[in-house]
Amino acid sequence: MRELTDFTPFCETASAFWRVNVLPADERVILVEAMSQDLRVTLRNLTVANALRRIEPARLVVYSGADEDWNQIVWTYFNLEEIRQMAMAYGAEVVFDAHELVDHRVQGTAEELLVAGVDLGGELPDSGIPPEVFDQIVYATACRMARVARLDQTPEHQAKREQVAARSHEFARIYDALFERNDVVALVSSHVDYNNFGLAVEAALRYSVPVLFPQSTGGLKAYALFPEKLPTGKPIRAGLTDQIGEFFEEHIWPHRELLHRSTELTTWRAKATLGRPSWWRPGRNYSNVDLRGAVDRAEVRTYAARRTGLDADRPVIIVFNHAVSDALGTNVEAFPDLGAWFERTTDIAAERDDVSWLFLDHPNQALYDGSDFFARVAAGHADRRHMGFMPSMDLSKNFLTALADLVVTVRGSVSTEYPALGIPAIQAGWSEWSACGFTVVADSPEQYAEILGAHIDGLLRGDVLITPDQVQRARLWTWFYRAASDVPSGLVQHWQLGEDDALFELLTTHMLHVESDGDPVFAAVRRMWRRRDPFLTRLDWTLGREELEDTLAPVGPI
Amino acid sequence: MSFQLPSLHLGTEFDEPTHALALPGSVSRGNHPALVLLDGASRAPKRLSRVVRRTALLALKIDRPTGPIRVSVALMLDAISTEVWRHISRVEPEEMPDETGRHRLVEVSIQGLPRAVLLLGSRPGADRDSTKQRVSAHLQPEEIGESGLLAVDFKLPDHLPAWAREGLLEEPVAGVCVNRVLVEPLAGHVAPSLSTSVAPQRRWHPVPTGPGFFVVNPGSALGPVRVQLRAAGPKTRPGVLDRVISRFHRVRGRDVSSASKYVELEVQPVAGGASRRAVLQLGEHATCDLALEPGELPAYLRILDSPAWAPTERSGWTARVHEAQA
Repeated sequence: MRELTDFTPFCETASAFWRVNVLPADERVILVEAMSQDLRVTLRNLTVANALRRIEPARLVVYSGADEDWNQIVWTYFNLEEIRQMAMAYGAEVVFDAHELVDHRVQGTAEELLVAGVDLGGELPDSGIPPEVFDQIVYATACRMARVARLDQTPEHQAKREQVAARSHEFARIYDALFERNDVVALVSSHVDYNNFGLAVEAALRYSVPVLFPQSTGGLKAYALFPEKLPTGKPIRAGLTDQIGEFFEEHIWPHRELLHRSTELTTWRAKATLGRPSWWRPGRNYSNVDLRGAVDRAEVRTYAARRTGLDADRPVIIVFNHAVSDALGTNVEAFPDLGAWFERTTDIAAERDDVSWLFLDHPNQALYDGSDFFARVAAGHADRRHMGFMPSMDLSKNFLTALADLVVTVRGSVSTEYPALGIPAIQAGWSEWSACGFTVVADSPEQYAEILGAHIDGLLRGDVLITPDQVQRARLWTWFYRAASDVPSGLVQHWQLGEDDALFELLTTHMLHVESDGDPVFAAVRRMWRRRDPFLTRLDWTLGREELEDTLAPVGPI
Repeated sequence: MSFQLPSLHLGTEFDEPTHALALPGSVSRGNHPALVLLDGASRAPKRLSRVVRRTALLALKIDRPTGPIRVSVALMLDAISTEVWRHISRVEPEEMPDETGRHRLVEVSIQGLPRAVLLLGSRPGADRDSTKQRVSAHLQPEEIGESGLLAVDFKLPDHLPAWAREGLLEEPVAGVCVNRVLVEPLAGHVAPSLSTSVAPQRRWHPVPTGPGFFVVNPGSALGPVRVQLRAAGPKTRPGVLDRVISRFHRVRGRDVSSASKYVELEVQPVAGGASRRAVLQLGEHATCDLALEPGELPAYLRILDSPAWAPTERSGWTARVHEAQA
């Protein structure tokens, strides 16, 4: 539990700052989610919302809270009063505890609660959400709360599903009511998954309200879901994947020569665990990739092989298990769930003993799985000497890089990291980068088995399975993700700063002593909003070559 | 022959050239350019490295030697060792196991071959205290490959007799500080060595009672080595206390003064296999010798039956080792 002494003075400063930096509110509403215990998350949501209020006059309506499940399973220090204090300082008209309201509504004890002109404690009509979408959100939430890869017919799981369904009905009702009875400009939400976040996002898109989706990383990174640009009948993130791929192809890839030095620098920094690496690997030097080339790799590979017990004279395929109950069904996936993908892959591996397989469990699996999923799958293949099962953190990035000849994931960031080092990656589902052309993506179990088999055959033949162009694409994505779609802003500071007094001191200083018009976040949000871009960008990518160079300021003579 | 991935592209334009360590040379800081790769360990700001996982490997880039080399590795425990160990070995519920009076065993391999086992006792006294152990190994020049990498790795030995597990810390390698790696051309041999967890005094290693055993490491010995045990100096002749104990026991029909002239030892090869026991008679200066065959080394050596007058803080024994023909 952290203690903040500079938080209240910061809120006083923020209150004065935002009063003069946004348009006066009109009748319209911007809905802001504040359901994370981490104040950096709410800070990002509120900052994006207020950047929007500079161009779209609106009232801020903030929903927050955490239920017993979230407090038991995810949060350790959720503090509604802190969140409320911050939201009010950022100009919120009202902050309400949506979780508590839902609990009361389920129990039939809800009292009048007027939010944005709607009595959320009173009678509310059913949501218009399509039943299959509702069921999917309920199922994914129940899996997460039960910490399982999938629900079975046990009374325990069914009870969890019913409890989640009852709460989800009420979440859907209150979110629908807010969108139905208000002119909502935008929804700002840190997550798009699960009932508490996802049902608001679903309602927003159904009511043609854009969703801005700040990320818990970097400076200020945010995606945007504009309803008119999303395909129908696909998961929420699918449209984003397509749009990112198109943007990358149209605006980033053509500038690869201009960006060459930058991409090399970012790749070098990524190897040294600088910037924000994969969120599950600590930012310490024991996570570095120190390997330089094939000679080093071949030698270190013998030690890594000994550690894992695998035969490294043959190709080694590393399969990175996911946090099995994490955000199920929010993008296109080849398999019904993450567990099914992992199980099927181990079955394929059992048959393909002409290569070595290393299955790694997710470092934070304990937060997502209480059913020993990984251990149970591993036990089923204990007699297969060509298959190894280990916790991911028992091997350094050096050892992993020395061993990996092919990496397999559904949507994991390993499918950006390894292609950037010339190691091919297969994805059994879509991710933010899966349309950027440096991984091979499977859309069905059959296609997955076919792709995997073809890659194994290719490895055994000594084929090149990832081209130099694809390696460059992966490196360019790394740069784009960390530099071009990450807006440095004194109004949020960098994520790595943490959320203690140092953050609030810096925010206070920035608000007091830096003229606000210069903050890049305002231009970035304005550009994204006006152009309906899928993400915030640090610069305007429609500029001509010369103007782009002036903005990027690459190292080199003019 | 390891599988080679044709598409591999590890380098970037910003990779800095590596600097191989010239021999003789020593590396004792984490930012030394010759420390080129880590697994399970971090670079230490004022030492060489800190083990932060259950096992670790450090790779140094060295000038490829033209003759045999001696590689010496110095390990240490300090207050940070305890912090890291607690972090790694934390289990739910978050009750911290106590490390007081418990020992660690670290197998040191070089170029993938086990060379020695070091016994590290828990840190005595206040937090600033530390405990250090070091070991040297003899490498042939052809053991250093084309890459010039010298790989030193640390793990818990695979085979441990039950008595070596008593009091052994969970995850004993986590938190260990690697103080220094010294690489030097070797003219002669690397002498066999002991690891008792206590620093030697004039080549004699005090043997603490805590772990109840110590480790004999072979160095470059090809023949047998001789371990010499000596009862502690002031106790080489029965004193007043011993006479009292003897008299007390004699009443009960046991002649302790006679029993204390013998010591029973157990030898367990680190590589596993059968152990053996030996009963040795204390000779002149209260010493006895035990020969260990090369196939037994490195070995755990346990003193089964100490004389009754042995004090409790130290076992009352000191030990040293040398090659049998020396």
